[in-house]
Amino acid sequence: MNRIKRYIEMFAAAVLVLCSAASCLFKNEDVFEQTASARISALMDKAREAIDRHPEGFVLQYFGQEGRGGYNFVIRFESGKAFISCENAETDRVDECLYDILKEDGAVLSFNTYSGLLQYFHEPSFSDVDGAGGDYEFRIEGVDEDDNIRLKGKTGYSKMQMFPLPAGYTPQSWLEAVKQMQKQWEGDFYIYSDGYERLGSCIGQLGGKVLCVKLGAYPDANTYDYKRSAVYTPDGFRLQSKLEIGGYYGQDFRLKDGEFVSTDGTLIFASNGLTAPKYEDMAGPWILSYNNYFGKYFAKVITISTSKDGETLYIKNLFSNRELDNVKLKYVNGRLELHPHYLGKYEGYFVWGILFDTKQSTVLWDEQTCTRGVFTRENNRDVFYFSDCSTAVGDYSADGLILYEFTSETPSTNTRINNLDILCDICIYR
Amino acid sequence: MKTRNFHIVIVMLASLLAAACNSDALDPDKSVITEDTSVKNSFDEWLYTNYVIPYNIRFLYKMQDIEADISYTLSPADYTKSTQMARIVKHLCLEAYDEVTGGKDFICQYFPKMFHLVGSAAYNSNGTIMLGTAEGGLKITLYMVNDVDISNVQLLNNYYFHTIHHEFAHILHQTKNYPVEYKDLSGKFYVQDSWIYNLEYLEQGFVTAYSSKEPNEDFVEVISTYVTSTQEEWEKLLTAAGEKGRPIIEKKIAICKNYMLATWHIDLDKLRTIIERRSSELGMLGLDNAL
Repeated sequence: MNRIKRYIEMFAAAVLVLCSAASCLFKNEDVFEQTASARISALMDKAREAIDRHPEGFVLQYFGQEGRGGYNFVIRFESGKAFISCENAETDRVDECLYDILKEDGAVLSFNTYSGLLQYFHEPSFSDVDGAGGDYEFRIEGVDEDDNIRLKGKTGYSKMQMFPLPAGYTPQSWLEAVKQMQKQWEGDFYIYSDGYERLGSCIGQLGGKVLCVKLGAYPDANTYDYKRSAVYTPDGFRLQSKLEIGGYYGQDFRLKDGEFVSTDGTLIFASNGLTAPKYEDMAGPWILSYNNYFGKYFAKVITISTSKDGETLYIKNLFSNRELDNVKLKYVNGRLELHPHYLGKYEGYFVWGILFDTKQSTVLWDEQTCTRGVFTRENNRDVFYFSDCSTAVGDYSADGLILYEFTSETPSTNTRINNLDILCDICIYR
Repeated sequence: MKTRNFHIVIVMLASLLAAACNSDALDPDKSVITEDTSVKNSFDEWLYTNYVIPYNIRFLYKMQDIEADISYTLSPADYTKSTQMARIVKHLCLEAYDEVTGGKDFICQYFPKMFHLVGSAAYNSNGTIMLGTAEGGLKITLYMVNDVDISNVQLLNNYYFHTIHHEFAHILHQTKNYPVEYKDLSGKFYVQDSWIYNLEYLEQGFVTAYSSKEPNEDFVEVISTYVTSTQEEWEKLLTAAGEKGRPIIEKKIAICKNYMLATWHIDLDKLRTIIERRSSELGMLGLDNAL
């Protein structure tokens, strides 16, 4: 028995040796000419060289989490510093931070000190401990011969591109141009094929930065077949990913004769002919409906008044027994955007809020105590939910919502606050 | 049996060696080690002169997720705030220990070899935040650096220096343990993670709610709270602890003082006086000036 075992072992050993030796008889061609490490180094060099060749800067078409929209950043790189502007802020604002191109399990472009503009969709808070799914570090996926750099968010995985700032533009003029183009997305749109066969309808959320497409019927904010973030260019917009409807495709669209046409001409966004009321016609009674943060539907009669700036609207009677009765809306591209209302100061911070139907008698603003009842400021960049003055994060009133946020920047008419301007869909009608 | 196993191992090794017949030539001119190519700025040079050379401490202000806790979403530290933090840490912490021990040797030998700054807090889903961590005595991570307010010494102490002294005290007791009788002073009141709900910590003889987590945290909280409080603040805390809590806290601080003096030759009262004096000197550091 032992002898048989011994033979089996020797046989197995011999097979092993023969198999191993056979591996030397054939030579497979390597898939890559260089090692992974060498290829990453080469890509890093290529990206550095591309960045160095364009002292005028790059346009980063930034996409965060789905449904958050696309944003133009213009970034000038110089001696390890990045000078960042963004369409989501005043165009003359320039943030300065440091950047590096790092070797990790790939080449990574890291903006590794703080920039408020870049952290807009990333920064965590009590109410959003994971941030909003954005990135400040990007894997470099490739650099082409025109120095276009393909990037992918390191944690959010959104694909985006960064290309040299086109000739004739300054960072400010580029951002102004894309803002102007975004204004062309006015009202809602139908989608046609190149033979003008109607394929569906589209509404744009966030002023046209998020396109909700419904095949056939007219969509509302909650029912759609496709949802794509869009980033605007001076001559059109680019979708975060390709849109395919009925065999027609499109990702890059150009404005032509009032219509947004895909680069191959097969997919067309054209206005549905419904025009929004003019700003001056907004004054008067309306019915306001909204879904609160938790999806519950509410509606009530309100009165809107206009102001001298030609874009700000106030709802004058949103609350029945309240001291705070103004909710600020902005009239943008024929759509209404809900903007935080500046409430006052607390411990040196500027406090903003969006207030919906709630028990106002229990939440009176006072600069000394801020609210009647218990109040705790936990962080200067956080959103708080109040319910009958019990201020636990995550609380909300049964039939409404109050959101607060604290900022350290001096209020201005254009101030947009991190979390407050993207939370709710509202609708008004006569 | 043993001989047979040995044979099998020999055969397998021989097979593996035979398999290693790669014919790729080595390139002696190419290094697989990548040099740091990042641009060095004036702050980097300052850190080299003020942290690396005297203390052999690396002050990492550029965000590196590999050095952070990847279970949290974190934001990088602001550059200007980082330069301020570096100067404050040096003045209020490292040099305070230098002064009380009479040289840099103590910090060089025991202080963690890396500071890592994070701009945001580390938010927990239970509504708490993490202000700092110390890992294996090697690294102190400080969060919420973007909220540094150089004009508010109390905030600096509460948020940052309390954390630094807390984490450093962990390293000290992990190197040489404190007397075991300390653990009996509040034995039945330690509640692990339920400390966040402990509103009666003072009466139970804890200086902070977090102290009631477990004895090691309690021990370092007493030290860090003591050295970052003025005598007036400490007395106020003792008064608030009442008849029940006060004697326990007094016993705890007595043990801490004896431990620090006997084990590390550090007089906690002297250290506290030095820190208080240095806190009043912050205005002279020119923190608003760029490095």
